[in-house]
Amino acid sequence: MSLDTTPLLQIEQAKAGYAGSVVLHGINLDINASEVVALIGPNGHGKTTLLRLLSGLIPLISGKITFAGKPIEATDTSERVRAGLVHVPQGDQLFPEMSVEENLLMGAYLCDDPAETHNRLEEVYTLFPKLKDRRTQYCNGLSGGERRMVGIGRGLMANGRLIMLDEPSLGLAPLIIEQIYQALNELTKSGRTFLVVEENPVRISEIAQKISLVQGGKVHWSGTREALQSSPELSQVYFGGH
Amino acid sequence: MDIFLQVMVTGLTLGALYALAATGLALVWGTLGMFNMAHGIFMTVGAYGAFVAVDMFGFPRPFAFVFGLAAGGIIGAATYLFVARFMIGRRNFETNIIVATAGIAILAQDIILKIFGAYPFSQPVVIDGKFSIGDVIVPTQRVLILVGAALLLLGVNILLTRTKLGRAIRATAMSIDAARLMGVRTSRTYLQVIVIAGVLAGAAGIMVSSLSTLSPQMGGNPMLMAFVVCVVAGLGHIGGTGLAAIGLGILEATIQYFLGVQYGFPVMLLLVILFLIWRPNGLFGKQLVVRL
Repeated sequence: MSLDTTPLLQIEQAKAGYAGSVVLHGINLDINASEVVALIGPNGHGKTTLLRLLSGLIPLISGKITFAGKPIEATDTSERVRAGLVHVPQGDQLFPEMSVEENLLMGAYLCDDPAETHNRLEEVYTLFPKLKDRRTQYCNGLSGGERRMVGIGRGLMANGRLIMLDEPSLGLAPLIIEQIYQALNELTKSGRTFLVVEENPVRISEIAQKISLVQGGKVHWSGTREALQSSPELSQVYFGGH
Repeated sequence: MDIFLQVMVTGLTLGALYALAATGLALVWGTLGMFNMAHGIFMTVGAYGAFVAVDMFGFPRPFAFVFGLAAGGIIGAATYLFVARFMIGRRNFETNIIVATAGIAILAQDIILKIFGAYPFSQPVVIDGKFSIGDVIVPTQRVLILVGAALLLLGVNILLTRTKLGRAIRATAMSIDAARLMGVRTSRTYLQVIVIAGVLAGAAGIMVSSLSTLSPQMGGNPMLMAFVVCVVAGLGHIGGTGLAAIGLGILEATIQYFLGVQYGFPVMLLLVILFLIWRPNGLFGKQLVVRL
């Protein structure tokens, strides 16, 4: 048996954007299996756009994206989910007039085995016990923290090979962020692969081994958490002098 | 008591028909964001489908009924695959699709006129006979319509709320991007929705023609009524559509009884206009009604 060394996700010179404006100007990024990679960088420089590009919500202008050894530029979003690329979008995008449990079950839409679906549901309920209490409640009546838990839980239900989380702490109270990150901490230790967009540098260093700095639509810097912290210049900007 | 019963039998039959006709329209609106002007012709095609099945193929009536439903589903699928599919997601989809489906309706109506002529055939898929409750005579066909519509709508309800397919349809209606991120093939969901709408419309068409006659333009009035029901319920609200349909059916029957049959439709429309001035978003609608 040979050791597989090709990265799970390979992005080469990816350009993308929205009608009339290019946001990503040639992104290069590799993510290996079982890695937790964080994307940091100023607002409006392409982190969310990159995730939307990867899940196929916006088209690639030029470049290459390879996932699990196969090019995925030409496939649509649902095909990428089938391949195991899961995206938990910014602002949760829950199904408002569905119960918590129905939202979670939508996450396992591609799973045809009821027993397996049930197991995943129980795992999510173990991770976020609050959701079990709220299981029959409509999502439009939940608090911000509960909504985030449903969003993350729904992403986990897909049992993907790479889970992309877009700002899991966005807009939440510190106490709730604490709870969310406790759960993420547990998850990232389980050997799953994550790509996390996060603005909060302290939180990032808790979970990510590798950090990529996205600036001006390019990956400006990539390296380990330690390397980032030991670089006085970067550390000053992104960690506020920690 | 007899008056009440008589009004209720008429009102519930009308309401059941309206619900059947309007649910498909609401489902397509709510999921695809498409106001389907061809919905009326789906009904006509369903009705002629059942007629052809008996008259030309000699099918027994229950099979002919199913054949009519299939005909409705097929024209629904054709509308999506040959027209709507290429327009969804493009600029000005909401207005363009109204023009396109109106075109389909005119074309299909002319084809039916060409094949069958303007002669008002009677619908063979019908159960004759009547029974009486007290002094009120109830035609069996009306009870059959009520039961048939209720069963079909119950089926759609179970499909939407209890099955994976239904969950995917509701998810697509609520947030298309999120549904795609769950792995839903949304173009397939669209096709499924419009086929369901076509089947329901086909059933409505068979039932409407069983109360009057078949004609190429028979879908026009039920389509208008389905639209009124949808607007009163709040466009795209599926559950509310059924309730609004029953309410309007009983209202129309009441007006018919006390003012005369010819006043039923116009007076009801007047009341609907007043209602919409008071509640522009309908009974259950949250969004603004789209400007046509």
